[in-house]
Amino acid sequence: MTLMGEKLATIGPEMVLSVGALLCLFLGLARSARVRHATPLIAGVSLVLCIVGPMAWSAARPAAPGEIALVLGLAATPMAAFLKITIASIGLLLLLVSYRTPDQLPQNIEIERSGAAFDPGQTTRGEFFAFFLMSLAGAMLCAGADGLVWLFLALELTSLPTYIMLVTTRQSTLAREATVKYFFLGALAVAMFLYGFTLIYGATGVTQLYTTPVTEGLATVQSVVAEWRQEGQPLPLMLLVGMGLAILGISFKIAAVPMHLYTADVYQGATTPMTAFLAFVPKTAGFASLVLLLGTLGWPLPEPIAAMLWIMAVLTMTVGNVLGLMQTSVKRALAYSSIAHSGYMLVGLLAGSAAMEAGQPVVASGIAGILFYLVAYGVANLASFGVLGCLKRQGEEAETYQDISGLHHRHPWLAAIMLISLLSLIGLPPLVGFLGKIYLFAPAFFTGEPAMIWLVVIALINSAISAVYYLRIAAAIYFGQPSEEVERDEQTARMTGSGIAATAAVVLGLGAGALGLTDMLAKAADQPGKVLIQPADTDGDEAASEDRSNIPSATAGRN
Amino acid sequence: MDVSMVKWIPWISLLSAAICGVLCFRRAWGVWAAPVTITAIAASFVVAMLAAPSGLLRDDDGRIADALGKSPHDIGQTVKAIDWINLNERDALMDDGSPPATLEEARGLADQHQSARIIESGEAGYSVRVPGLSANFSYYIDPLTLLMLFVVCGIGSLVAIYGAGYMKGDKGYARFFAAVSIFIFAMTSMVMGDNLVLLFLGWEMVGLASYLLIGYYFKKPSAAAAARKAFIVNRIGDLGFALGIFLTYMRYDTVVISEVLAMATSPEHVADWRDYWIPFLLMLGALGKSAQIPLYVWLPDAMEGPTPVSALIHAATMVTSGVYMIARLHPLFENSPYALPTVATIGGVTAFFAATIATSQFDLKKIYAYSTVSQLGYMFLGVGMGVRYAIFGGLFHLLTHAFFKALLFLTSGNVMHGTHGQLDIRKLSGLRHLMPFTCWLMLAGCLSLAAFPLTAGFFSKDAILVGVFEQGLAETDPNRWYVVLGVLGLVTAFLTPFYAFRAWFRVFMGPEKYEMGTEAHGDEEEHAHPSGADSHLIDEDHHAHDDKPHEASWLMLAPLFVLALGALFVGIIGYKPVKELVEGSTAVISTGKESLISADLNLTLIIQIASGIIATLGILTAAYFHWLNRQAGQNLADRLAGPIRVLENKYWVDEIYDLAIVKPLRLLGWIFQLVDTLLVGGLVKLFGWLPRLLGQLARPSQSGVLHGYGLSMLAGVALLVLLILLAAR
Repeated sequence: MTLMGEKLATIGPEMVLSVGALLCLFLGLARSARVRHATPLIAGVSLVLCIVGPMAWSAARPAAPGEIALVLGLAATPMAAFLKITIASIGLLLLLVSYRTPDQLPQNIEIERSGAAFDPGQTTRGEFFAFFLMSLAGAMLCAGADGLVWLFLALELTSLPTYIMLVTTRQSTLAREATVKYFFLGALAVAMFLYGFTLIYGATGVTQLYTTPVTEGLATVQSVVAEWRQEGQPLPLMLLVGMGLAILGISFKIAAVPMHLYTADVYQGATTPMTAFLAFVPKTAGFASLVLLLGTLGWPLPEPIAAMLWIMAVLTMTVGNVLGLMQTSVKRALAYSSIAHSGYMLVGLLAGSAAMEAGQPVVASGIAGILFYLVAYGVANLASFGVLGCLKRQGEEAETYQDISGLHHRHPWLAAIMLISLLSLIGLPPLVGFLGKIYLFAPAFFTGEPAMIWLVVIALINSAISAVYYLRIAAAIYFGQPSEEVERDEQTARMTGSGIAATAAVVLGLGAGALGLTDMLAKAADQPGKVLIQPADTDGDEAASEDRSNIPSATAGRN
Repeated sequence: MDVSMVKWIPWISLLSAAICGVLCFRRAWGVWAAPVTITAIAASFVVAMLAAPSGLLRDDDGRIADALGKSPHDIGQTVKAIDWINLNERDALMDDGSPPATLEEARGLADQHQSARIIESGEAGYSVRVPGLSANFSYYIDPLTLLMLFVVCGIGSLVAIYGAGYMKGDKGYARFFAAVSIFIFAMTSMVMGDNLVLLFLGWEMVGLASYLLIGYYFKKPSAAAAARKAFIVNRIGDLGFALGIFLTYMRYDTVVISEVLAMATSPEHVADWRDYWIPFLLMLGALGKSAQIPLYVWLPDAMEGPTPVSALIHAATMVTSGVYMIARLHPLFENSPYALPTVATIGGVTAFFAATIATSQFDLKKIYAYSTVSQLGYMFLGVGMGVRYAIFGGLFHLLTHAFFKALLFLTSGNVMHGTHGQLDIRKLSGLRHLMPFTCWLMLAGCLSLAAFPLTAGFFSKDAILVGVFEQGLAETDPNRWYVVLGVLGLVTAFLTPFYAFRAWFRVFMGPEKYEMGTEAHGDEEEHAHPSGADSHLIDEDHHAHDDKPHEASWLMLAPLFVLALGALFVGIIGYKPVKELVEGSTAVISTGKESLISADLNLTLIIQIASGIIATLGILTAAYFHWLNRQAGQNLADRLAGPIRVLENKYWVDEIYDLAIVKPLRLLGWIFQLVDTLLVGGLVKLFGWLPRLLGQLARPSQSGVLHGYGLSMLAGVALLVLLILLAAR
């Protein structure tokens, strides 16, 4: 296989999604309304292909012993494979939750109702689904990134579509204001991590983060750092500052302090399904990038970076929960809780795979914790925002405590879905949030360092604080007086999506082990960036492939 | 059937719960919820009875082997269903990748790892466990588990059959059965769980099912309040339980019950301060769930739930969880010198205290509720002993009580069903001709509750009392306190037949007189329902107040006959097998076999004769005052108006709790709220305004939010980068 071919083979799902996006873009402008309405279907099919394709492929062409099949790019790195499947699956649920969004826009309703001649300038349906897919593709690309340039482009591909989706899905000044804030502050953050990337390049002289078959034999950030560490040299300040700036810039995507300020305004301004999107996709991309970046340094992290992350984690969860406690709007409370959950995940990032020893089971690694928590938070977040999106008060989106008050009496199923997702967000067993928190905090606890144990204690206190506002929402739903003005929007798909997510929260909470998820995590978290692609002609160069799998270990330098 | 089949038991019920959940969607589908649930619970019962016995350790003649001095790993089998929490815990291996073969090797290996410990595992030799946290859906099957499964699934299926008739026509038919299925899932997970985390999970989930079912008629304010009360009171107990589990983990580095017990009973084990506290924390949980002083107040109110629920959850199964937990972790309780005496004392006092309240209540279900509290007190008294016979008695009483109390609740459900919710025994009289089956079935339950000779309750209660006196009159180191508790138990044994028969004589004997209740059972659909067997029993106008009490349908009566047979004969049939089961379980690993008193004192016979006489006396007293000469009863009551008022008001415990705990907490809550709005609210406002303020400073002419956000972000970044610079120096 050619080098280009090998590289392309690692991004199969992204290519599928890009093709889907282009189709949506064009067909969204078709004359026939039927064709225009087929765009969500196309989006759905491309996402299903991303999940089913690799599975079918590997079933059709089983890997020879000792060889890991090149499965439509999914074998690029185990972490990327895990994240790509996660992103595609939760993306499918997000699509279910949001597929009616463009139809509800006044201008679209106007066009459909009047039957007037179709004016391409007035519709945004095609764009919505195209950008939806592109943003997901961007997140997937982040997960598989092996260099700084790739990472930068992938992060931007994740973010740029969201600005347009944000402003076109809601006709309200709130949405416009939110978009402006999101865009400008986002640009500021991009500038910051780009500067950080520059400094990293300056310090190490390379932009490649990890070795892949394509770049075999060349230096990478990882190998350079490993060499410095081996020689006992202190890491250059330029690298540390560069890493710091990169982390801070990417923190914008995960909504961590001090880059969290936009979160509540933007999440509130966005239409509710869009909020669910914003709370999951950029966050996943951000954490994938952070894991890959910090993976080059290796755990335990250098002291200055660890100190910074420690402070960020504490502030992020505390600010998120304390402010979440004070909100009168459910949507804002959930937005702040999204900040808090990023704080929890930073604990896993700090613990990293330091607690891993050879032969230890899976979940001793903070990276596995993050990957699992992305799933756990993803489903619970989707279910809660999905339920909120199903409710309308006089045509406006429901968002205050009064709007959901007494929901149980009017729509018991929506109430049950909301309750499950809230309990999962608190982290109560047997829901997935509980396992997620165990997997996140236990590795930090097992490192045995006082600072990490304190961090776990602070995180647990924060979980207790968060229970207050989550339970307040639950109390409003179950014990409040129902309001006549609030009605259910006829959104079967949205409710189904939330329902599936809530079911997943229960099923994964009980059966993550039984479903083999923990085994996948074990592989995924083993070594971020470790490439498992092996050449098809395995015979003859056993030694070469041996070499390759050893590359990320500290001994492999620039040889 | 292989023992590994037991791993399916909880999941059958979970599946049934899921199906019932789907059936909730359409009212017409609801009728299928009952068959699904009944089938599921019955299937669990069959699997449990076929599969579990094959996993038990037996001695040469096929009997279950005595547990004394054996390792919990040998007595029971662990069956793993699925992985759940599995952190870091692993078996260390020798350099060549094999497990250690000898004890020396194991010791050497253990020294290499931090806080590793050596586990002797039956035939496999030794393994060196490096600590972590492992809590899987994995089940421990020993004779005690088998006994509990028999109670939970056996009584559970009977009550479910009854519920199918009782709840007929109710709007939330499927919802009811979904909750029952969830309950069985939780309860079986709890009694089978091989680790404390799973036990706690089951413990909390039975609680959840219980609140759901107490608050089943959630539109009724009293039902909602009762559900809340149960929730809050149980939180107090469960906090203790959770702390107890945490302390156990700190002490033993594992939450797997068989390993904890093995370590706690090993001769090398030296008890430290944690061992003294663990049982007291665990005990709190047991007191809450099993409604003992001081946490009993929720159970009488819990009768707001549908009657089958009262029978299943609040009489036969869930409330005995505390007894089960103490029996399961008995060796831990023995490691603390004061733990078991405390359990016994609380049990003995609760038994007496609740029985006195029961003698003066007028609501049939309330009487049985206090009776349940009282009988649970007996069970605590039993398992709170260090004597085999008493522990057996406590657990045997758990079984017999499940039969007769379920029977009593379900027959009072028949009364409620037939009289449109009338349960006041002052307003019902002489119903024996109108509800003949219910009358005689309830008599069977009352006889057993009264411990009338040769009924089930007689054998189990006497076993407890014999055990208590055995410890109190022990030849070496007698403890007179236990004699006091035993006498208290005998006094309670007089009160019990009195209150049981007071209710029975009032409702079924004497002149026929009744006042119908106002609560129509079910709703309009019941009339439309083409019911075969009971159509002649339901009058045309169901809401009229002038119709007669009617007998229940056969669907409701059939399971009652089984329960009545159990209430009468389980004592005779079950005595030997249950004794074998209890003596082969982990509850008696470290409890000696030999009797503490001299052989020529035939304690059993003395107690049996004494308690037989006491029970008969109690019944006769009740017969005189409440059947033959009700006027005399009334006169006596008038003369004793003062004490009876105290009892009728249940010693004003609810009011005292309100004054001593709820009111101060309200005040505290008010203060917190004040602090919250002033201090925290102020801080939050500050947080919110800070970016705006910065923005205003930077550009006074505009609203400045965006600029403020940007500046705040940059300030934060600058500070953190500064931190890196400083830290890197």
